[in-house]
Amino acid sequence: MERPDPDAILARVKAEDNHRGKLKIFFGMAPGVGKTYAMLQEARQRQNEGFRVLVGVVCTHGRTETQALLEGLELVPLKKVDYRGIALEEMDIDEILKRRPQLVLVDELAHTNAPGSRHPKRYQDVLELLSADIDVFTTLNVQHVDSRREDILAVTRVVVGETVPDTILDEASEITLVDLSPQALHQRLAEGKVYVPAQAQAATTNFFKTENLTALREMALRLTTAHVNRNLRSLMLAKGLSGPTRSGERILVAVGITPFSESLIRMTRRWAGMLDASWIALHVEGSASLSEEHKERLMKNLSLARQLGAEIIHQVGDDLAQVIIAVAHKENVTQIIVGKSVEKNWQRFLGIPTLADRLVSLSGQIDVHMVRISSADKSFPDKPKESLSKLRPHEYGLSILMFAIATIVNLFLYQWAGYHHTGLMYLLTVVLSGVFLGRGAAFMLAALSALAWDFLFIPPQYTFGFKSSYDMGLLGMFFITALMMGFVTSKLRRQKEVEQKQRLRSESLYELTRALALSTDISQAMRVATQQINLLVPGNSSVLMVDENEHPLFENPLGDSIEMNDNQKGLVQWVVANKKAAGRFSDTLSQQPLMYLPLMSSGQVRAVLVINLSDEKPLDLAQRTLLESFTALMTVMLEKDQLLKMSREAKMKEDTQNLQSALLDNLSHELKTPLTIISGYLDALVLFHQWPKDAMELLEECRLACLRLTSGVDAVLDLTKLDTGNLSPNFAWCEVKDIINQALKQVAPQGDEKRIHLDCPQGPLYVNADFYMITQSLKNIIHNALVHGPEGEEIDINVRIMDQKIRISVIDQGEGIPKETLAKIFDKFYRGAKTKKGGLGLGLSIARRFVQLNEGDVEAENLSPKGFMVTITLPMAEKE
Amino acid sequence: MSKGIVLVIDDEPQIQKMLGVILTHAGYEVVSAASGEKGLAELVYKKPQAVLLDMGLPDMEGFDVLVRIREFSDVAVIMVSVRGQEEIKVKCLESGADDYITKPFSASELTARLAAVLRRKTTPGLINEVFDNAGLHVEFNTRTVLLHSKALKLTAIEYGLLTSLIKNAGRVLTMRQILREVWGTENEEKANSVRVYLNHLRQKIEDNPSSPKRIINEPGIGYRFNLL
Repeated sequence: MERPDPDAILARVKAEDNHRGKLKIFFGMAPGVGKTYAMLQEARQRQNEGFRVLVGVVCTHGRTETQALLEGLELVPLKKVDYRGIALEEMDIDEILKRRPQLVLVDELAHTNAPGSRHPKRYQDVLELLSADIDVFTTLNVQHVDSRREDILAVTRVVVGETVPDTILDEASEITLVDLSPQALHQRLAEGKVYVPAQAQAATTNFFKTENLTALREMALRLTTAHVNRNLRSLMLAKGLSGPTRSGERILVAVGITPFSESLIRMTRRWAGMLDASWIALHVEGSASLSEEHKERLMKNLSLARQLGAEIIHQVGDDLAQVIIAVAHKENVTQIIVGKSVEKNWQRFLGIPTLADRLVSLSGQIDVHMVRISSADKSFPDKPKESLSKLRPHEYGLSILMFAIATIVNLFLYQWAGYHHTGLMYLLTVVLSGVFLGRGAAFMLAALSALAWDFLFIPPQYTFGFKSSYDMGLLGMFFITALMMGFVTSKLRRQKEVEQKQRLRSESLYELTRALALSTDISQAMRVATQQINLLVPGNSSVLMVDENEHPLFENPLGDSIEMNDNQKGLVQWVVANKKAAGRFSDTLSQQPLMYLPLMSSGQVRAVLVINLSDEKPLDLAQRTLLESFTALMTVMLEKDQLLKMSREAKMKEDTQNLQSALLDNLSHELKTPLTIISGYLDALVLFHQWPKDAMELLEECRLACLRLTSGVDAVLDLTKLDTGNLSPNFAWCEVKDIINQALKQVAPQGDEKRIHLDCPQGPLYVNADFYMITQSLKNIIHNALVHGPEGEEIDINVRIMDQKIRISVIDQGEGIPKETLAKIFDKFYRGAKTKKGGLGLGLSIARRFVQLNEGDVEAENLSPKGFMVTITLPMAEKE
Repeated sequence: MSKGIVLVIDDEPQIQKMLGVILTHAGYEVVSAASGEKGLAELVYKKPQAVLLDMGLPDMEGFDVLVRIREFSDVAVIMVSVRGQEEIKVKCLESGADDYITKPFSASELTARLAAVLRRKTTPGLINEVFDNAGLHVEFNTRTVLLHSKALKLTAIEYGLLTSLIKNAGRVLTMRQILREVWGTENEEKANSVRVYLNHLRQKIEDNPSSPKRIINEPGIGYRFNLL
């Protein structure tokens, strides 16, 4: 059974989200196809339709036709940025945000911003504009799409420096392909209509070759179609149609430190896109320590994978194949992709299984793909060459020291026991170095020991020669044994280290979980979390909670208090507004010394974690992943707290409402009981006794007063219920004439029914509303007309149907209400200046609020030459 | 001669007294009880013909008193309530209350309701009879309906509605009661079609459909068929 993917629906909802601007990309195969031109044309059209359009940045490259299109559009001046004395110009994003247009034009999406700008890349500026609910038009060439980089290189032999992640294409609500045939483009080139920087002439000629252009054109077409397909699918999902859903495939790619990994990641992303599968980038951290260069590259690879939409998993373990398979099983992976390393022939020759062999034998149901990556940078070591690539001088020093001690001990031992025993002494030293030092140190010690043993002890002494072939064999055996021992013991030690690392990870996570579980409230939990973070990364950290109005509570930091200037506080605000990390190690203002991480729950930033690192060193992978796990845990805590608060509030509201409703019932009873008694006795007096005429009139007056009091009490009770929210409409189909008749019946004792003239269409008319509320509203309005209209003149009640709405108008022949006070007549306790005595001034106020509760409205207007009309508008009930 | 005994269950002495005055004048014998428990006891001892039951009693919910009454007696019960308790009123009507009256009420309204309820109790059912009231003439055995001697064409549902209304003349029927009697269902989703059919019926049997006098809408409760 196919089932709509909730994520896709969510994405659809996000795309339709009214608070997010829409992105339209004018997409082309190469420069010069007329993207900017097309963009400007459409922007002008939008402006003519009444949109407020701003030009953020447009590069016309001096082309006159394009320049002409800019006329009449509002330009935002570029911001001057000084970089090492060079004056650069960049788009002024702050100014754009300040001017708040509906649509902004941002040319050349792939542009890299000048150093020191808010974001390193222009597309990040665009994302911020979109989240500020501004629509964006932009232009992009196919060669700048990240996942196409390899193909472009293969086709055109041009290395593309500026790229945008593929996710931005997903972000676009529309991609328009600006297409031109290669021939036409050539003609434009020949006519000088395509801007080509002078220094790039030669490269350009190569780039614009017909076969290149054809390939690029196809690529651009394919990308556009893929986007349309995706849109179509999410549309179908949103409409509940069962279309092709996610294939259920899940791909895992093993990511390492090599540059192959980068190609591997891009390839996996394309593959995942084709299969419509989700994908995981897995990095397995072994025991070998990485050089700074390796770390850098690994971070880059992983962040590329994240950018391209992968889920990142980080795992520690020495046995690569086993870890990969374990993760694959846990994550329900269907396909595994690994790079095909240059197979070591000797390994195969010796029958030692390679990674590929092991993966295949362990994989079971999972497909394993080995991918050979061409054009590899051979100069880059594909494996961290431990001990050789990275010297740890102190280990070697120590091993030399151990060697020296062993030699001195042997010099004594030699006197007593002969040269055989000295060999054993050296062996012991090698084993010890294997346990405590690295593999390299152990190997060196083994070699040194073999040489020293031969030179110093094996006869003939002080030569490297041998007296007997037996000794030569012995030395050979010694050397091999020493090497093996050193290797095995150092491996054991490394495994222990890996376990240690893993244990430390889980221990610190456990520690945090436990501490969080024990904290009684959210503030304490956040304080505990900051303490744990301080243990993880050197420095201090603090959590700034964010209130409902998205204001961070700077005066009340949880954890350490970190001094912040206004700029830094502004950045915290930015994090809250944009729901993204900022500061160090992020995409936004990474030169900032502090790290700002948003803690989100249900789509809102609930708190910002600020970390002040005490040293300059970038965080290593383990620290980063642990930090991510920490923030995830903190988010869960915040979410839990939020839910608790909500349920508590709901309970409190319910309690208050119950109390209020009980009080109102009581009040109603207390007021109505005496009224019932009075009117009952009045009735009894009138009905069961004979009275002279004047006494009868007095009794009648009393009865009218009683009725007025009753409706006054009703009005006050209704208003109280409205104000306290204790009144919700009881929707049912009501016939309009029933409503009118009921209202007339209620006003009848106060007025002369004959004065009222009803004009209503034949046949029943239904509104879906609360009968009591609407009747009461109409009664109040008719009552008003009777009281305030000129005495004795007719009152008209007209019922009309307009646009599926029913309008009930009550018209009197009075002078109406001065224009300036017309708006006030629906205010509580408002009474007109010339109003006759009587009335609380509640009638119209209640009428409007009742009708509004029923999804309708009440309006008043003066008629010319005279007359005053109040109209109730209610939606007509849908016919079955 | 007394028209019968009326039991007033109300905790307000002044209301008791006032009702006593009105009902005595109207020819009834009045018994009062200030709580639900006492009321139930009086019901057993005095065997009244009708009960006026206040919905706001100190010891028991009015609804619970009604349920207890219905466990052993089919005495006519009129609930006395204040406005805004429509849901409870509907619940009571469906659990066997005969009618309701809203405070403050007029003496004539009360006595009229009481008379109607008592009349129905003594002469239940109208099958095989002829109904004739202010120009509306119905012969049940031939299914003929005449308005001012002019034959009316009623659909099956309209006719079913009319008989059900006549059978309960003077008494309020809740939407659910009408649905059960005419449609044989209690599915409240059909309530809207009841309203539509009732209005069709009004077009045919009312002298002036714009201001109906026979089929009266009781806001939030249901409909009442009035004898003219």
